[in-house]
Amino acid sequence: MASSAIKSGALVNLTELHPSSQFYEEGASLRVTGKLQDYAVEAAMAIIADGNAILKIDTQHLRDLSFRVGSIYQFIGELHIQADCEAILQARVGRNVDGLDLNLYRQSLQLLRQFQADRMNNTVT
Amino acid sequence: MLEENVKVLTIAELIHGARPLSGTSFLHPYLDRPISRTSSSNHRTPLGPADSISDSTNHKILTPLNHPVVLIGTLTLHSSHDDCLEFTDSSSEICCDILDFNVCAIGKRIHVTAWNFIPLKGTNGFLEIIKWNFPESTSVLHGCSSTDSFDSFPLFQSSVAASEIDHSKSRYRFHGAIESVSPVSIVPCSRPCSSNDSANIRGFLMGVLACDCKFCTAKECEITQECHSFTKPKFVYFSGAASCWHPVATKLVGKVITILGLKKKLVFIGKEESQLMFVTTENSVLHVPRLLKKWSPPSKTVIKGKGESGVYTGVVKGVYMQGLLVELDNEVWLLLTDKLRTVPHSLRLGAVISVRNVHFVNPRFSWTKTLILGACCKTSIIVESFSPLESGCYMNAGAQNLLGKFIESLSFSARLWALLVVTCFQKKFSGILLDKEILGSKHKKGLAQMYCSSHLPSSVIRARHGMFTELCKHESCGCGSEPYCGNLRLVAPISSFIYHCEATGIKMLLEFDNECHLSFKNNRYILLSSEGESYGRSKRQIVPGEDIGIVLLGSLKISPSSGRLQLVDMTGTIDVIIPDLSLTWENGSIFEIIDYTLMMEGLPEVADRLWLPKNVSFSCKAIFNCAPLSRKRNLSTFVYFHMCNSPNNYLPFYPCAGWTNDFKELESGMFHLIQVTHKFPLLQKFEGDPLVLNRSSMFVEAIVLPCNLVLYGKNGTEHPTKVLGDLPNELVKHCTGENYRGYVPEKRCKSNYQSGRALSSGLMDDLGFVECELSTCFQWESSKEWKHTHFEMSHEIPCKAAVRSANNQSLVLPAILCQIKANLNSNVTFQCLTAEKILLEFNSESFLKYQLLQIGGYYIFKHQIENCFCTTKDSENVGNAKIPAKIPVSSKTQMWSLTFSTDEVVTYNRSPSNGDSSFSSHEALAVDQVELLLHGLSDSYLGKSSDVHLFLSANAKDILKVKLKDLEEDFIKPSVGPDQTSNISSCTRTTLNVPGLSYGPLDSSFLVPEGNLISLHGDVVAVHGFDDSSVSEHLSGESLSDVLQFGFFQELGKTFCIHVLVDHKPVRIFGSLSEHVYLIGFGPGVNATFHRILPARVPDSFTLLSISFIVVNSIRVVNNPFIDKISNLWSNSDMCNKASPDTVSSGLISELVQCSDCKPMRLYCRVVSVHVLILEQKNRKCDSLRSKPHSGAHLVDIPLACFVLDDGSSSCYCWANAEQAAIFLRLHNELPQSALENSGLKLKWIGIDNNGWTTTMYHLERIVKKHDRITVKNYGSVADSCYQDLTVSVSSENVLTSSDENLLKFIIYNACFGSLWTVVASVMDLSAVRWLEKEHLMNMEMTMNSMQNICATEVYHTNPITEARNVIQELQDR
Repeated sequence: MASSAIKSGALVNLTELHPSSQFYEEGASLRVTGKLQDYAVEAAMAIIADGNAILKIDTQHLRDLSFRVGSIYQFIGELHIQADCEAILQARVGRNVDGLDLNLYRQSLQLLRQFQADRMNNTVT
Repeated sequence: MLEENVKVLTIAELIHGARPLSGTSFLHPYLDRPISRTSSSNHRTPLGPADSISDSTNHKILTPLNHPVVLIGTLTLHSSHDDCLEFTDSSSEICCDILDFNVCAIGKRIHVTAWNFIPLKGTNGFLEIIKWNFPESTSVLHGCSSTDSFDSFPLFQSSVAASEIDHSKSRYRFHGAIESVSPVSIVPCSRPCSSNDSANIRGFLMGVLACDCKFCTAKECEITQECHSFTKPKFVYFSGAASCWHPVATKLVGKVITILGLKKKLVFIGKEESQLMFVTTENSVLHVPRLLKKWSPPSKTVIKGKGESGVYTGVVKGVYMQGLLVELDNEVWLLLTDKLRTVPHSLRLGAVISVRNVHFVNPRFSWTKTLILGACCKTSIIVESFSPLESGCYMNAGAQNLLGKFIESLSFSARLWALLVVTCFQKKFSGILLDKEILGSKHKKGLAQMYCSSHLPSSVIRARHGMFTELCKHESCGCGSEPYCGNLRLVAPISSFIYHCEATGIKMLLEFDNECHLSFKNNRYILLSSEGESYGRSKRQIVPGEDIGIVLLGSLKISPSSGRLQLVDMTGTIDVIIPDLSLTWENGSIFEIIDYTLMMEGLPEVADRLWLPKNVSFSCKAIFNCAPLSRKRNLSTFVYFHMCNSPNNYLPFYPCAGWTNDFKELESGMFHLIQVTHKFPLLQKFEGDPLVLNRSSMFVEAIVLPCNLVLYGKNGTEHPTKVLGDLPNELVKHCTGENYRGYVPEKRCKSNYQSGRALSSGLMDDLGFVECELSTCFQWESSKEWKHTHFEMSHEIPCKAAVRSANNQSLVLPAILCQIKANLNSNVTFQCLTAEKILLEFNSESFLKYQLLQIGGYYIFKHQIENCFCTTKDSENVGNAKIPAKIPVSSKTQMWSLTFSTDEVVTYNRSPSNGDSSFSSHEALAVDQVELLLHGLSDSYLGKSSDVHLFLSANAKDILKVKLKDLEEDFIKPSVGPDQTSNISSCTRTTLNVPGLSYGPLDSSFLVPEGNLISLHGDVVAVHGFDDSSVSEHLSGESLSDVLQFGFFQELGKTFCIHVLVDHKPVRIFGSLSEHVYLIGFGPGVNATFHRILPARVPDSFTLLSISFIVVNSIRVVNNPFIDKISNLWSNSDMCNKASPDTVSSGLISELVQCSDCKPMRLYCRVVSVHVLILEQKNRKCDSLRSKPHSGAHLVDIPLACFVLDDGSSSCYCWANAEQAAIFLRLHNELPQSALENSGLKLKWIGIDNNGWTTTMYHLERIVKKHDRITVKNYGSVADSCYQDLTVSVSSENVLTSSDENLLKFIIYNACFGSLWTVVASVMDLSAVRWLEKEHLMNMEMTMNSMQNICATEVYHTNPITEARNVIQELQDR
């Protein structure tokens, strides 16, 4: 399989996205969700937050997406780590997910991971 | 005697209770009954419908006592300022008023069985005696002396023995009717004989009408109750102690009385006038007939509202301004502004009062319909029925301040206006200014008075005289004649203004709706009202401020929620659009906006219809009760005006600090020059989310031009700053050196500099100062002429700068455009400028500045050391994007707009010659079309709106222009995608490469739009939303303007499609409009520029991005619904009207009766007669709206045409539009020679071989041109062509010549005896027919037979051969 192919965005909580995390690597495809904290329209740079964790999203490739501070957005894209160790998600997909129950979302994410882990174990064993 | 269970209450107990009470149980026989609302009101209150009070207030009903209570006491007169009777018992005394007054009760012990008690601050309270009687033991006659039929009362109660009085002087007697009673006044008196010299005499005048008969003129004779005719006006002065009879006298107005023991005195009024009057003496006695004889003055014929006096009785609906203004019934305003006037305590909300000798004035204000009752010194107020409500009494105001005196000196209409202005000022500025500042004090004029006096003409000011003069010489006082004040415009609180406008707007829009109920289906005249109902098409209405008659006053601010510019006062806010608002605008200043345009847009609903008040004229009451708006109407209102149109926008007396400072800032120094290239839209916020940061910035992209502007102060010295080092030394020398001496305004130098001449001639008179300055400037410049020829090679361009300021001053300063040193490499000249891109960052405080910046506009910033311009930051890299340096702009940052112009074209006139310059005088606009230009940058406003106007020589400007253009092109490059621009002319689009923001594909496999961002400019035709599910072109419901205004856009992800006509070519722009909330008035009919939009993959489609910015350039309103519709339909006609002729089935007229499905049908018929025909001269301006060429070529319009068609089976009325009517009338055919011969026309044009001249149309055009509008009606037979009775009438004053008339008739007959027609038509529904009848035929006095009405969509000659072929074809197909 060609390495250039676009990978699926791994579901990640913003809180999990710290430098020691397995997801924190250059070029990682991620799907992140958070509340839009700020949006720099001139730079097409969004900042989403989930709890205390924040992430910068480069939205320059997105169309038809209206940004409203305070709304919840979900982005899929590739993580790029800058020289100053700051991570920016270069989004290729973005959508407004207002109304999403973030707690439930996190819970289901845990269950999903658990399920996937179980399944992996089963297939391995 | 009192009943057993009746309790007797003392006054002291009542006062001690200190709460409003009503003791009216006696009025109700069944005491056990629970006391309901109605039972508590006294029985004699004819209040009319119960809601008449409840609607005006939510006052409580007076608490009723549920057991009978009687007050026993004595009714007395007392001399107080309150002008009341007094009721006393052993415990205390209390002011009172009494119904069913009988003079006999004075001084008697009475039982008060029904009463109201109102506590009053500072006094014992107030008692309203509703029902009373004498104790049974006391006879009514008891104590009343004199003869049988009279009750007599000595006016002086201090019983002076009659014998002691000298009767010789007081031997006069008066018998007559009381006409009027003046208020009690005090006459300064210095009677030498009196013991207390300085005593001032209290007293009042009674205007009476005496009888001239011999009995009455006889000095002493018995008064007989015979018939008298009371015609002779006389005056009785009640002086001294007798003045306590004033309340009684007031109650006796209109009654016949006799007073004995009077003396006659010649009273000098003023210096020259004197008047013989009766004066009361110590032994004067009042005789009142027991059966009071009513006398009514000879009634005036008609009350025209010009100051005639009369009687008015009404219910008090409101007492305002400490009783100065009383509202009676519905918007009848009783003015009680006289300083002597005391308002009766019983004049409370809900009372029924009768006002005598009051002046009726119709103020004829344009903003309201109301009646004024102007009280003068003759007026008396009697309470006919007390109020059952717990409304307070009004205490009479004490000393009068300057404002009171001022108001008193005005005519009645002006007085009401001034009182309203005062109230409005109080409402508007209650939190901003102190009450004292608004109202003034005894010695200082307040803001309200200054405003009033500056707006009132001198004709409304009346000289006021003393009470004697005004009563005796009443006619000459001017009360009776009212000067015209209709042009006084009201300063309304903004909330009342909005309320009023919404009411008017909804009414207008609803009417507009009703007019449109005509629906000719399957026809070009499909009216959009049907659509309006189901799809919610928003409507727009423009009202000039003059029609509203209201002046707006307030300060400007930016709404924190919507980001729109608003006019604000304490009561409310209204959105405003000011195309020429200066960037130097001061936050605190109060604007007065007189010349404005109100625009309303929206979709009135049924609910609004219910809310709509019956009378939409402005209600003065609304000012007093200016309640906040209860509910958001489906209507958005905004006000549009130009600063330059109202020279005194700032209140002249209101200090507006800051302007002078601005001016100083601009006077000299160095300024950075920028050009705005883009504005990023405002970021949306989720409202009510606490997590959302309050801080948000707006960004404007600009390029810093590599040249600075240096202004030289008026003194010719550039203020030395460190920057000056950049300037060539010789320049400074020039400024301060000898050459500069010429720069003195009074020394007007004649310059032979050619542009100088052009300038002097081109300037307007009021700019004489500028002219003078400019011409002096030229001398300075001409001395530098050597530089002109070489400046291409130099680093500077000399020029002049005209600086505008708000207070109508302009200053012309010498200036220089010089290159920035940073770029000033040794060999670089103006030829090769490079610019730098920056981002201006605006915070919420400086949001207004963000709003005022216009894309493409030039602006200057003052150079300051701490300024960020001067410490240029390099661009920074964020992510992959290179972000230009951000420069914060705070509210304190001063910037000015700049325009360039050559010396030759001076357009710097701030006072446009025509008043309505806010409307474009564009040729293509129809008469009833209004266009609002929103953009200061439009050509007609170039220069007017800018703060600084830079005059360059033509040569210099050309060079600069080229350079600037080159500069722009560094940033705005021509389009590179040939396939995407192919359809649209390149001149309307500029394409942009945003460095770092290239919207190219991320990966070639992505199906996202790609390409360069472009700008489009065009007219918005329609806007509609998409259903999320189906992205079809179908209208999904809401029209955008509604959506924008009413917040439906909150739904993110909602996509809209905007249809825009760009150079007559339709394009579609898709996208979410949520970022563009601040766009006021955006919707169909606006001309807008869409900046930085992305071409979509579909041709002629574009996508709005989050960085796209929409600028509304102008808003058009088509007031005539028809034109609107027609223009809409012409564009739609391709869609709905091209039902191919083959699909239309043939039929007979007789079959139409059954056919009710409005399907078009083809009929073969001929014209039998003309029913009605209107021919008009076509308004050329309308043509632009109709793009069809057929009707456009000729000057004749046929707005209404009804023919009678017959096909042998039956006949019907056929309504046709202009085009089809012209075919029916065969206007394009050649006019037969016989016609001209018959009509007797001279054939002057014989021999000219021009086909056009021989057509019927040509002749018709000629006639119509002469008469504007010609109506032809057929009063004769509709069934027989020969028996038509044609009546031709014209609208012009020109007489229709018989030859023209004959020709017209010939044309009609010619049509009737013409060929066979094939008509594609459909049956009109009843409502349309009714509408037509109502609109057109009723006022023509025409009737219609009960024939079927059809509406023609297509008319052409029947070609028998084609028809035959068709028939054969049909048969073969079978």
